Amino acid sequence: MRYDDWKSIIRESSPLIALMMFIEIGGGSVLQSMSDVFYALPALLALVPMINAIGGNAGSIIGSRLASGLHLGIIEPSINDREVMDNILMTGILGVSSKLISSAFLFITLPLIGIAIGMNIWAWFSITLIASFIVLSCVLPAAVIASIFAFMKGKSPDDFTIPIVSTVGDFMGIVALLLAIKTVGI
Amino acid sequence: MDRKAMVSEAFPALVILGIVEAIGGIFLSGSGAEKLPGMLAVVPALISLRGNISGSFASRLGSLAHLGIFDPKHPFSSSKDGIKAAIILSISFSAFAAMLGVIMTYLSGTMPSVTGVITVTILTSIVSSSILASVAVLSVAFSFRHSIDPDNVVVPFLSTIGDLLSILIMSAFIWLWVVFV
Repeated sequence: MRYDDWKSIIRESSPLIALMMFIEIGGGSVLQSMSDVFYALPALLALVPMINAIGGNAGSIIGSRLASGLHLGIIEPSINDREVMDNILMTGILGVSSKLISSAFLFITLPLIGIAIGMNIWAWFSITLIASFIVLSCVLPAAVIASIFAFMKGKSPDDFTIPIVSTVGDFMGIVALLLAIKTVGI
Repeated sequence: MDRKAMVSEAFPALVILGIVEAIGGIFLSGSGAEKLPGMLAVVPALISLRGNISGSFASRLGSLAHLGIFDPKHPFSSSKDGIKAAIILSISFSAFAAMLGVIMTYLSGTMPSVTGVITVTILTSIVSSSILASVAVLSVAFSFRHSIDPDNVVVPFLSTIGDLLSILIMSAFIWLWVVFV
């Protein structure tokens, strides 16, 4: 079998893509069920790509950092390890801060192109903060467990940790956005 | 752990990615996706499908270049199997996602726009997968000719512009459908 034969590429990638499509459509259905909210406030739709990307971003950072640390032997494959906790905290803090910056960018840019924010600045940033926090608190532990599992099974983070964590992140991102909107009470 | 390095190296990357995603978000919120019933159910699947297929296509091209199978002088003819696979996977899984999204929307009590969702999804997939496959082939060939390891540059670059491009193309098709059909 040749490595670059198109039939074998399709055969190898289809099962994982099919599984992901089911999870993504599950998340999408939650998004669809919120269409009234987006109809009234289309600005909230602008938060979807950035909240969904948290999984992929945090997953890639934690996945590659832990993979290197585990291979070098400076990190123990355990969730109670100090280095592991440090990595979780740092990725969490950087993740939330970068999303607040994107959110500020949206708060300024959307009205300029005629899309009203439709809520005050505190509500807007609270939604970003709550949603990012919820996603990160699901995605980071998942990323750590997936990285440790990948390390023990000898799988690369690119093929294993990142796809899992970004799919979990997409689903959780939408649920988190829904919870954040409900909590803030728009 | 080196906290300083993480702040100085990872944080700027996260901020730039965040701004790119926010730009995608602006287009999505301007597209009127909420006005096409059933479309929102397919949006996350369509974005992640792009990342999955084009991302792994780009990293496969990187490995093929290292193995000497991908020839930077004849970039398209030496990667035609990968291109074919990427396009077949994109079209068939986007059709699958569109149908699943339409069914889920119907089951949850909203009447979906069946032709709208399926047409927008498949057109987005055909256009964005052809553009991204060509960009991937050309940029891997370019980085190889200039002795830059494609794994470090092209793959991260493609996944970022891939997300943005797929949201832009999808938003354009949704907007066209909502306004003209």
